[in-house]
Amino acid sequence: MPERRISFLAGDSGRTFASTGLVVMRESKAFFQHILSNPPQPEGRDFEAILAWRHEIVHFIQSISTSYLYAHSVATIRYAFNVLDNFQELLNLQKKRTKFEEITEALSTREFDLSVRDLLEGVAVIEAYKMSDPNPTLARFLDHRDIYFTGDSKSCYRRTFDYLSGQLDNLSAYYLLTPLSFLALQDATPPKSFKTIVEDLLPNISLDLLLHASIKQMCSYLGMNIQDHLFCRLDNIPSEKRHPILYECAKYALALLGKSTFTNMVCRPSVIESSGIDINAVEALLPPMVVFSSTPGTKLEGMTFGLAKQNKDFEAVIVHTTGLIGAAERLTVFRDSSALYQFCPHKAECPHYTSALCFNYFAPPSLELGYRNCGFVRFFESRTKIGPDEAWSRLKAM
Amino acid sequence: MSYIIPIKASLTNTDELSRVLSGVKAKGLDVSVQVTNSSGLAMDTATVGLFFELAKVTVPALITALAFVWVEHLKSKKKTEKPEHPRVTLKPTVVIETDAGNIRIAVDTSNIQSSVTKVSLPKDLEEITQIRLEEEYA
Repeated sequence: MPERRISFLAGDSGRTFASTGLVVMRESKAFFQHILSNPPQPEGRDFEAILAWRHEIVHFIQSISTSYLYAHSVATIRYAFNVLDNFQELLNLQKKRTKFEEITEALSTREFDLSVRDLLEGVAVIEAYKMSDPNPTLARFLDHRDIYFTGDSKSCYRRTFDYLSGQLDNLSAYYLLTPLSFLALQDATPPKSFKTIVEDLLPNISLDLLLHASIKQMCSYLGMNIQDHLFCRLDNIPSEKRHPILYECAKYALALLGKSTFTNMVCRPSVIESSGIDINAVEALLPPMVVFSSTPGTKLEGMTFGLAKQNKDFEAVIVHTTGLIGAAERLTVFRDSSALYQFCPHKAECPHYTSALCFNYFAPPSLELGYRNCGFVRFFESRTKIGPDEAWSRLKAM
Repeated sequence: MSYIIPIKASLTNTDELSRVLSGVKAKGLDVSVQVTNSSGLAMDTATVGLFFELAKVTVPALITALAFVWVEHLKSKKKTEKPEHPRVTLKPTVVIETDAGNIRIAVDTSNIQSSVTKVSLPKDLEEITQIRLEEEYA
């Protein structure tokens, strides 16, 4: 039987699962390799694919270098596994909100008119642009934004830039949005911290000084201590708060790049493109695992970088953890959703397909292997002690 | 087996694109329009796709229907909007993206059907990864 095409994403060009470091690309690996080895056109499909890839790289860097997103990822895994490990308790909750749902919503909740997602996306938009345009300028960025990120200041892709340019000016926002967001994301309440930096601290500092400052100098001007930041205290993180994937990736990148280079790169990711640093070292800042949609008749393919390239087990942990967090989402956040996008080729025969608990399991078995060899079912059962189909029917019977 | 093809167009928002694409169903094709709002960390604000059962739709039928609704939309737009550069003529174009590359169809508004049939289309709908509805200089 010929393999079907598996389109991992219904529409997104790419997506980052910040909690596990997994990146999913809509294009096939063959197409992706083609654009990586040929200079992309300044617009159109090639450009969009490379832009999406760089956008997702920025999100991965945020996940290993900012205290907030790192802690959020640790909590996401912990609460997701709580949902699965205590499935009977979930049923007893009778649809009351779980900690997992609270942590899932935390990224998008706007406090002080801003959300953490606004901060993360604002940086990804501007840094991916700076990486992709051979001659990046403010004017060209504003045009780029109007083409690829339409909408107004309500959009999470535009909100922080618009806010900052309103407080300062367009040019200052163009240069300062990324490092200031980076500093705010080291705090437990990034939106509040960002506003405090911009509205209370910046008026007392010369903008000229800030525009040319390193992140270390910037910290000092703002009365912050860079030693408080995540990557400066990795070794002090207690074992129960060490993320099974992101902690290892951060440690690996720090060891390869050294603290100074690592710091410069993570606070302004676009410098990676012009750093001249050894490609193997820079690879440590790439998402450890990328999966691609397949082409018709071929099997699924992925690419691994850094630690995942050296260790197959690490790769498996990324895929399984992403799938299990997805199952927890389905059992809580998306419980009543009737139209989750599913890419699995075993729709007709798999008894677990209808539950859609596996909707984020990006390694479905091939048609040849058959649905009975699905790793998701095995891992789900090992945590909940029941099969996905049974879990779903018990939940729906509630 | 079901399949979804993301559709892109230079329209103001997803609602407008959804309205245009609803015309494909009106042309008798068994498809549904799906709008996905991005909730995770991703580059797209929202995406619009055409969802259908592979056995119920063919490549020429889908592309022809898309060409028709795109031409109709551009015609209705021209009636209500003044052209920015009156001397420049733009031609409706359907771009089919596949793993092997892009197929561009410049649509002759006086004979939409033949614009589609004279192009070598992908044999299988699964070969299509995305479709763009554009306008290019005539």
